[in-house]
Amino acid sequence: MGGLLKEIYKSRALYLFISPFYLLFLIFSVFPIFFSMYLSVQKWDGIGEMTYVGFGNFTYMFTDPTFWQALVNNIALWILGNAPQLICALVVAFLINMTIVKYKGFFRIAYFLPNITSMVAVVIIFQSLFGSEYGLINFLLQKIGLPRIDWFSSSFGSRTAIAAMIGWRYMGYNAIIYLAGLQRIPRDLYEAAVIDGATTAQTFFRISLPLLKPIILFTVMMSTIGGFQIFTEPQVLAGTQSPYPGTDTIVLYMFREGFNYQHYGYAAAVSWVLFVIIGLLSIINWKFFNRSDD
Amino acid sequence: MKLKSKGFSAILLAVCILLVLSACSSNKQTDTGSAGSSNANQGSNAGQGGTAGKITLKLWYWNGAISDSTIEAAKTKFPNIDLQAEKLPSGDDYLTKLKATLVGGGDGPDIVAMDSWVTSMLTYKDNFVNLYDQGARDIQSQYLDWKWKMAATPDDQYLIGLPIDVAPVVLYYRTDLFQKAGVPSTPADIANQVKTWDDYLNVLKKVKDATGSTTGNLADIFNTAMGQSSQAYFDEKGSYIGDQAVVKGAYDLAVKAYQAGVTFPYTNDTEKNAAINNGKISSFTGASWAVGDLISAAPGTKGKWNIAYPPGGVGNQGGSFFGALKSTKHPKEAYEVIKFLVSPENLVTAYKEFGNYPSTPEVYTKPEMVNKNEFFGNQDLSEVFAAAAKDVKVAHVDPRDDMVRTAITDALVAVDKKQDPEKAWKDAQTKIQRQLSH
Repeated sequence: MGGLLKEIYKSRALYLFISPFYLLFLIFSVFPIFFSMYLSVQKWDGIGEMTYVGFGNFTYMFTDPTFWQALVNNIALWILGNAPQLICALVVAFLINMTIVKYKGFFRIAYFLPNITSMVAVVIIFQSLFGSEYGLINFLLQKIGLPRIDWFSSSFGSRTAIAAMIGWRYMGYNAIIYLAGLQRIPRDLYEAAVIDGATTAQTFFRISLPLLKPIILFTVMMSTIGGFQIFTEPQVLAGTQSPYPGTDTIVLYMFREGFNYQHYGYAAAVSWVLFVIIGLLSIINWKFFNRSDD
Repeated sequence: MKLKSKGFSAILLAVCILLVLSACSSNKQTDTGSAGSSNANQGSNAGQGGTAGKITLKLWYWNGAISDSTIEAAKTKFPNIDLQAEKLPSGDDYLTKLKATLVGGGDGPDIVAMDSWVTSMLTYKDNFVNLYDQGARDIQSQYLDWKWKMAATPDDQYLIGLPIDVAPVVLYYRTDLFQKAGVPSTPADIANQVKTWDDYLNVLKKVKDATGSTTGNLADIFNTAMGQSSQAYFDEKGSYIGDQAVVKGAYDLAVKAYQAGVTFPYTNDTEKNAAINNGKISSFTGASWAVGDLISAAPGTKGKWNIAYPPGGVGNQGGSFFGALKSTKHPKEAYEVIKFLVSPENLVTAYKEFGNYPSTPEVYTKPEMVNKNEFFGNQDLSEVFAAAAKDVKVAHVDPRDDMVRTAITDALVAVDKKQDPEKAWKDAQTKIQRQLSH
C-alpha cells in the first residue's frame, strides 16, 4: 500500500493531469449513482422533506400493473425493433463486403447516415408517415386498394411504427460494425472455400457467421441496453403523459413518475430495477453466446 | 531539462484547472461582465448597491409569456437595474427547472414567470417573496379578481405572483359551414341560441349531416367542460373528488359527443391541423391563445372563421404570472419591475403583439384593444374575449391534478378506440386511487 502511494506521489504531475476528468466524473456520475441509491428508499417530492420508506417503493412497483405493462411493452419493442434490424444489418454488411460490390465507401456512408440524424426530427417525419388520417403510408395503402390502418390506436400498430424508427436508425450503425468484423476475417478462408466449390450462402453460414460471433454478441448487447432505454420515440410521438397504446416504456414510466408527478424516490427505485434487468439480460446474452461456442 | 519540463507541465496543469473551474462558474463571470459592459454603455447611474454601480435582476420566462418589447421597455424605465431576461423552453421543462432551482437555491433567477400551475406553488410559498409586503394591495383592484386569487393563499395573506394574461375559452367555428348547415352562424346568434352543451351537440349533429365536419376530439370537450367548473379533482383540503359528479359529468359529456359521432378521432396535432385546414373540423372550443395556433394551422381557411361566446359558460385555460424568488437580494426592485411588466398598458402591448389577453378588465373597453383580424373575417375578437373573461369560476388547483387528468384523458382515448366508457372510467379511477396511495 505504502509502495503504491509512493508511486502515485512520484508521478503526481501525471495524476494531476488526469484529475479533471475524474473530478467531473465523481461529481456528475459517481455521486448521482450513490445518491439515487439512497433516494430509492425515500419518498421525496423534490422540494420538501425526504421520508424513509424502506422497500415501499419497490413493493409498490412490483404490484403496479402499469409497471408490468411497461416492461412487457419494452420487451416487445426491443424484439420488434432489434431482431429484424440486426439480421438485415448482417446481410447488408455481407453484401457490401463482397468483392463484386463497387463504391463501398458510398454504401458505408449511406447506411450510416440515418444514425447521426436528430432523433426528434426522425420521429416527427415518421409521425407524418404513419398518420392515420393523412399519413403517407395510409395514402399509399388506399391507392392500391387496401384499407386504412389506424396505426397509433393499437399496440401492434404503434409498436410497428416505433420499431420501424429504431430499425431505420440503427440498421446502418450495426451494419458498419459487422462490416468491420467481416473485414477482419482473412480473405484466404473465402478463397479456399471457393476453390472447394462453396456457394455464397455456404461461405456466409460456414465462415462469416461463426467468425463474427463476438461481434454479434457486442451488437446484441448494445441493442439490449439501447432497447431497454427507449424513450425519445414514444415521448415525441405522444408526449410523456399519455403514450400511445403499447409504447409506455420503463424509462418513460420512470420519467413521468419523477418529473411529472414528482415522485423522485420512486423514480430512482425504478431506475435501479431497470439497471438490474439490463444487467441480467446482458449476462444471459453472454452465457448464450459462450455456450454455443463449444 | 527535466526540471524545465516539469515546470512547464505544472503551468499547463494550472491552466487546465482554471479552465474547468471557470466553466463551473461561467454564469457568474458573464453576469458581472455584462453588468459592467452595459454599465459602461449607459453611463454610471447612481447605484443602489452592487459592485458595478447598478443591480442585476435575472428574469426567467418562456416564449410568449410576455412580449420582448415590454422587457426592452422595462430596461429603459429602470436604468439602474440590469435586467437579464432569459428565455427558457416552455412547458414541463420550465417547471422542472424552476423546481430544481427552488431545491438547489443558489444562483437562481430573481423574477420568474409562472403558468396556471402557480397555485400549486403556494405549497412552497416560503421560497417566494410575499408581494403583499411589497405593496401589491395597492394595485389589486386593477386585476380580475378570480385571476388574482390564483396566486394568493386561501387566507389572502401571502401573494406569490402578479397576473399577466388570462386565457378565456371561446367557441371557434367556420361561419360558412355553419351557414350551410342552417344553424346559428353569427356570434350574437350563437351566444343567444347555443347556450348549453346540449344545444351545441344539436348544432354539431346538423353541421355533421350537412357538411361531414366535426368538432375537436373528446378530450377537448372534457377539458373545456372542466374549465367551466368551480371544482376540479381535489377540494381545498386536498381530498380527492375526481370520482364525483363534476368530473364524471364532464367525462359523460365527452362520451356523449363521441357517441353522437360529432368528435374528430384522437390524433396528434399534425393530423388535427390538417383536418382543420381541410374543413374536417368546423368548430372547437379553445382558449384565446388558440388564435395564433389556428392561423398557422389552417392558412387555407382564412376569412372563414369566427369566434363566439362558448357553450356551457365561461372558462379559462392557462394564463401566466410573474413572481419573485425569496433568494433575490433585491425584492423591492424585483417587485417594481414586475409591477411595470404587468401594468395594464404593457399588457395591451402584449395582446397586440401575440394575443395574450390582459387580466386587467379596465382596458377591455379601450379603443386600442379593438382587434380586427382578417383571418376571422374582420371580427373584433376583443368583444368576445371580454365577455368570456369575466366571472370565470376557478377550481382549486392541486399538484396532483396532472396525474388525475392524465388518467382520465387516457380513459377518453380508450373510449375513442372503442372501449366501453364505463369500464374505462372505472379503470382510470382504480389507477388514480393506486397513484394517490403512494
